[in-house]
Amino acid sequence: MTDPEAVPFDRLCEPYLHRWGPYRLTRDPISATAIRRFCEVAEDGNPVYWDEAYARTTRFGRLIAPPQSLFAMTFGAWWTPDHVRERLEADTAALNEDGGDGGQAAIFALCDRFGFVVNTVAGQEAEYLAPFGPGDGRLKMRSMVTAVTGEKQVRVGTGVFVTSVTEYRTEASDVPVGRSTLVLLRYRPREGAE
Amino acid sequence: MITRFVTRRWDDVREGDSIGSITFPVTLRTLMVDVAGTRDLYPIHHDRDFAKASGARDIFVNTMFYEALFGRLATDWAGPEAFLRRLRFTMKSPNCPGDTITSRGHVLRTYEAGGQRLVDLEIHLDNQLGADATIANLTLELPG
Repeated sequence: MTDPEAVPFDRLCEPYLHRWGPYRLTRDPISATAIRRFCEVAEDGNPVYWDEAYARTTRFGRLIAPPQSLFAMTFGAWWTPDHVRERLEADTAALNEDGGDGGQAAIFALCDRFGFVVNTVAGQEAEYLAPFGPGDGRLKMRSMVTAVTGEKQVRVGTGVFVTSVTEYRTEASDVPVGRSTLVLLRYRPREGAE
Repeated sequence: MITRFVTRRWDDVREGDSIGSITFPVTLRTLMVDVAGTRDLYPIHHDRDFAKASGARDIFVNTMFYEALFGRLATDWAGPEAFLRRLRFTMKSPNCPGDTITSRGHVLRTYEAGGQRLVDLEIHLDNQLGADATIANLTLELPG
């Protein structure tokens, strides 16, 4: 039996790379309210996010969400009652009838086992493929891990960099609206870090 | 009087053009609006004890704050007919309550690809502690 600590971290993760995880579905359809709350964050007054009548006169022909809000729009809800959650789980299961469970959960479980429990975003790249907005329904997304590094010494401790790709589609038309690549640093904080 | 929105046309953009500069003070309120608007409840962005125990100077604005700010800076310059096609950035040092962000940016190149008229921008965010806290590369599609 091999001591798991002796196998390099990146080698342990290899079997879990390049496997699409299941689709996840947002709880709520894209709404003008969610768009405006996102716009408040950096005080973005672009009228195609705020003014329906004006937006209809633009190339978009309708109110749209800031493309850069895609990640925020698909963040998990804070609280959901059981009856709504059950319906959402059923809808999600219907999307994943043929799919496997991907490799991301297994990689994060390995991170936890090695004590890399704190995470911070080290890099992010997004491609926006089509405008989306109210009327497009919910968003669905799926991810896969494409790369994991070996253990590295970083300023805040010891950790690994995990690279994931996520694809986003609208529920209404199944059109891909975006693709993002996220590099996450998962780390064990240095003793007495301040 | 109705505010008029000016759209920048691809034909009028030149490499090296400045996109201007803004100052954005980061306060505790900024962090609260950030959490509310981006739905990110990870404690490193709202729990000062957790942030410090994780090796950070203080709570800091999240990744989606930068997405929001870079997107805003791009369309503030380009106008409402522009569509953000690509956004990539590196966060080198965090922005915490009490910090002041200053932006600067310019046009890297203009080109056509896949039937789209595109402009690449580079935007730097500095703060009072130093330059280049966050650096972004963006691609915008503009009307001709």
